Amino acid sequence: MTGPDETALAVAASIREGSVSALNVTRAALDRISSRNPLINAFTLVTEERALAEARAIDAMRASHRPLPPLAGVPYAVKNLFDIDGEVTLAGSIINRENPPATADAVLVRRMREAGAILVGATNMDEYAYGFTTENTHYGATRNPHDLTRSAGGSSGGAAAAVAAGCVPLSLGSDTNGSIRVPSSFCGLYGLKPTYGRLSRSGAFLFSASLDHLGPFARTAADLTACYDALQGPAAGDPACSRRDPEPATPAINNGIGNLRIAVADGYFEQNAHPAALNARDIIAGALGTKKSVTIPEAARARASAYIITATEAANLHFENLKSRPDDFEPLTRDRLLAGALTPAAWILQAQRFRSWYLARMLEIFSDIDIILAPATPFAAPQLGTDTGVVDGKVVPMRPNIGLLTQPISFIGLPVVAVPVWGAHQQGDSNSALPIGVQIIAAPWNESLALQVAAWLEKEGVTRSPVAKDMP
Amino acid sequence: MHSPDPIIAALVDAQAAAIGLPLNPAHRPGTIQNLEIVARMAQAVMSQTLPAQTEPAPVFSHDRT
Repeated sequence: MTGPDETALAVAASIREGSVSALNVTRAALDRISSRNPLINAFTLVTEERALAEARAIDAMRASHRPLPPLAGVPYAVKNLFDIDGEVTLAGSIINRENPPATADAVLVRRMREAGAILVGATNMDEYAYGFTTENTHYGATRNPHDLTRSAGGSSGGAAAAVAAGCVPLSLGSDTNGSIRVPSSFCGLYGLKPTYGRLSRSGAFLFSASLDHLGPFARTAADLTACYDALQGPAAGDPACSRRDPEPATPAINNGIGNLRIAVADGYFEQNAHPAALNARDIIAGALGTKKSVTIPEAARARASAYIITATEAANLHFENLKSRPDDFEPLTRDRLLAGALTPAAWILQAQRFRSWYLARMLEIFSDIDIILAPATPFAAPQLGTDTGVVDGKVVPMRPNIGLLTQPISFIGLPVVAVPVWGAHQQGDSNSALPIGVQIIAAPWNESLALQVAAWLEKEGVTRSPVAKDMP
Repeated sequence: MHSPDPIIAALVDAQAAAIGLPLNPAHRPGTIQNLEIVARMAQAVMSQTLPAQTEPAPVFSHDRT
């Protein structure tokens, strides 16, 4: 019960019944990080001392016959934009190295601790979360465990790679425009981007405040759901965090797909997807018996608006450093931030007004539909260093366009579960051994429905998330 | 070789001066190129007429939806 394939819930159950100690589970995870991280460059920090102390505390709880919390003894990692008490929060930058260490855990790290999980480290990301490939000039690129020549996706690439490589069964990331769903797609994982405002971002280094979400990665729908449930609840310090009480999704996870009204997003979400991405979506739609399609209105404008808002909010956040030390920024995105700082207000405010209009249209759609399906990425994981790609018949810059299909969804904060599909590429395609993700999109606050669909697809064998082969 | 849009180049120079953002000459071409991308995005956004009562949504709350 200390192997890389074990699920989080299986690990917690074994510790609860006493067949393995939290200390042994933690040591095994630390050993895997030690042997596998040199291949994938997922971790920027290993919190060994803290992990062993947390594990000993769990074992002591069990020895004294106290009830164990739901994720007791489960190792996990967090994207390095989460505050970890006593550590400097890098957010993928070298600028933040000069900041003092955090004096407390981020709210979600605290909640994981309260749920009994064991923090083993912090993971690599695109600088300040501005990117979809985790090609970080300062800390190196994270490599995809399923093909080390390819991107793990971004910006939460390290968190995804750590799970796909079997270092840990759970990790936490952030998603502004797709940064959980893109790495889930490229690394073959289940990833949840909850409703905007569902999970507290207090103690996380934000990127674009009106678009930022936090959420988990896992290799099973049940693990994803259990982790999400552990993270819920209002908290001070995040003005966007809802005051809603937790709405646990675990009790309904095996409810099946019943009478859910499910539709495929057509138009924009088809034009911008490669055949394999559409095939992955069709595999999911076929399994669910979906015959209906829906046109999300003005998705291209939504993506354009998200692009403008992201660039300008991020530029505003980093304005002082852009003025005083622009050469210390990631060269891949520095000029995008500078352009964001110089963007006319008329464009920004129109994008924000359009956002209200678009949310209203989407809520109308959800009066007739419960779940919308769309590919998570236009294609599977690209080779690291790829500068251009083809989308909708046009050669476009690769990195900003990876999020074409995720941005119109997170733009208005809808909850999404990304599910991994294998075998969507044609035989002989150079990508045929790679997974690709599909978005299960629900109305605001309906994470539970999307998780139910993910669990059903997994139970039926339509989706799966194996640990990468050939890991040492 | 990318030839910069003169209007966007002028906007970059004027706006940078107005808001006190010193622009390193080495960063100027990339900044112009990126603002050209933003401008293309903005063209799509600005071309839709919205009802006057449509308010901006900088930080919205689904508690109300």
